[in-house]
Amino acid sequence: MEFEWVFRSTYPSVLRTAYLILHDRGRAEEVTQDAFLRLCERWHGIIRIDHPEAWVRKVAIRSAIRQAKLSRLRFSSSSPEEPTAWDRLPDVDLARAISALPAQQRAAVALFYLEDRPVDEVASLLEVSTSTVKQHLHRARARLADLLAEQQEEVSGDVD
Amino acid sequence: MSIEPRLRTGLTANTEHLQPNLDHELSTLLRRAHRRLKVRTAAVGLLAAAVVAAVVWLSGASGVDLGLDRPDPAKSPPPASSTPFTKGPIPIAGRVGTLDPGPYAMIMIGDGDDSLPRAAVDVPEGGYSTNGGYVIDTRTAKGEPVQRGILSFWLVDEVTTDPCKADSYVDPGPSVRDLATALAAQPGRTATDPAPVTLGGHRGLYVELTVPEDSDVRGCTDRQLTFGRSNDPYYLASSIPGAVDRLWILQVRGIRMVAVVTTTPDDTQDTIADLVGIAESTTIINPANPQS
Repeated sequence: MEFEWVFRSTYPSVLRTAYLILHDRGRAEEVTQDAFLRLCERWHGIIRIDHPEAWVRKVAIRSAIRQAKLSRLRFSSSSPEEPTAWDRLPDVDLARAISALPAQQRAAVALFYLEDRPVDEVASLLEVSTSTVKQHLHRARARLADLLAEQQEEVSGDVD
Repeated sequence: MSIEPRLRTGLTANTEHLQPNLDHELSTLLRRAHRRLKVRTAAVGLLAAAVVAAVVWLSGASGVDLGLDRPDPAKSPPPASSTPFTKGPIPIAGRVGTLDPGPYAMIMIGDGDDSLPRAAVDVPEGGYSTNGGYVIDTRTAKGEPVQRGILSFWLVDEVTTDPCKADSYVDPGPSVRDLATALAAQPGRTATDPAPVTLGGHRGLYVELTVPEDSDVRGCTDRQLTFGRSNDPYYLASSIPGAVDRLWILQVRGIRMVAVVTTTPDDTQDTIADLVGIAESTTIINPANPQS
């Protein structure tokens, strides 16, 4: 298997997942590049990685979650991305609601709903049990439903 | 109303603007990898030069016996001359892909400035280089490449006490036996007793290390077993149940060198025999005079 083939087939989806965890395109690109750099160094070395696509995705997700947690500590009161960039998103309310979730839940939601990966694969990528993934998804759905309902009420109130 | 349909459509819509320029990203990545390799090589080169200088000084000027195994003088190549590297085996370094048959000077992983003695092997038809190792490239019926097994040469500086934890490195000691004993004692693999062997005219120990078929690496660092590393960031590692490392640990002109043939249960007996045969035909050359 060629490195370039893995890069081209995997990079876009790893970037999407990192972006949904970080909500910042620049940092998502950084995390994704770094993960592929690590893979590249190992690829041209000796180490055999059985499933390079899964390996690089896991490295990127782990790094994105770590960064998301750090940025939440540093910038807990500010939006992770400039409001102008948020406003251009087709479903800005959903984006804002997702940004309110803990990083692990965002990762689980991204992998399950965007990447359409089965629960056991999400568990493997996040290195948690399947029941933890189900719990993350359940809590994320409940929280998102609440947040989106609140936003809906605010919009209705503004219109009234 | 369930939030799931909105999640599926909304997440897709919100990430549609992420259309990376893959050509640009790939070239940036390769440039970064190249830069990092150069920096590492320079650092390792300085370290290797310092180590060689120290070994020469200790064993020559001071007359201190380092306790290293000595090469078999009857079978060792003659001493190096200062002839420039103009003929002899083709350096495999930097080559990635199918190789023309012929003699190749292998990379010594961990020797940053290519100054130490190295191994040369005869590559037959179907050889492939991974820029660090030599691979048998068998082809499917459709002619697609299938890379099988790998032969590589290493300077192994540190080994793990627990291969499941990549932060458990220790110095195994300087001699061939120290390294063979440390690797054979690691949990996570079965080992044969280190046995005397001669390769390329140099004496050493041979040991086979096998990852058990029921091995579970899910709880291990990077989901693999890590056995050792050179002084640049390359690691002897495996995550494949049934993988076998065949190690020839040699003392070559004061340098401990390891030849490794790694195969997996997918590799055929022919592939294994071919790789072991190539390893056994190793000759040791001096970078200053590759024909020596």
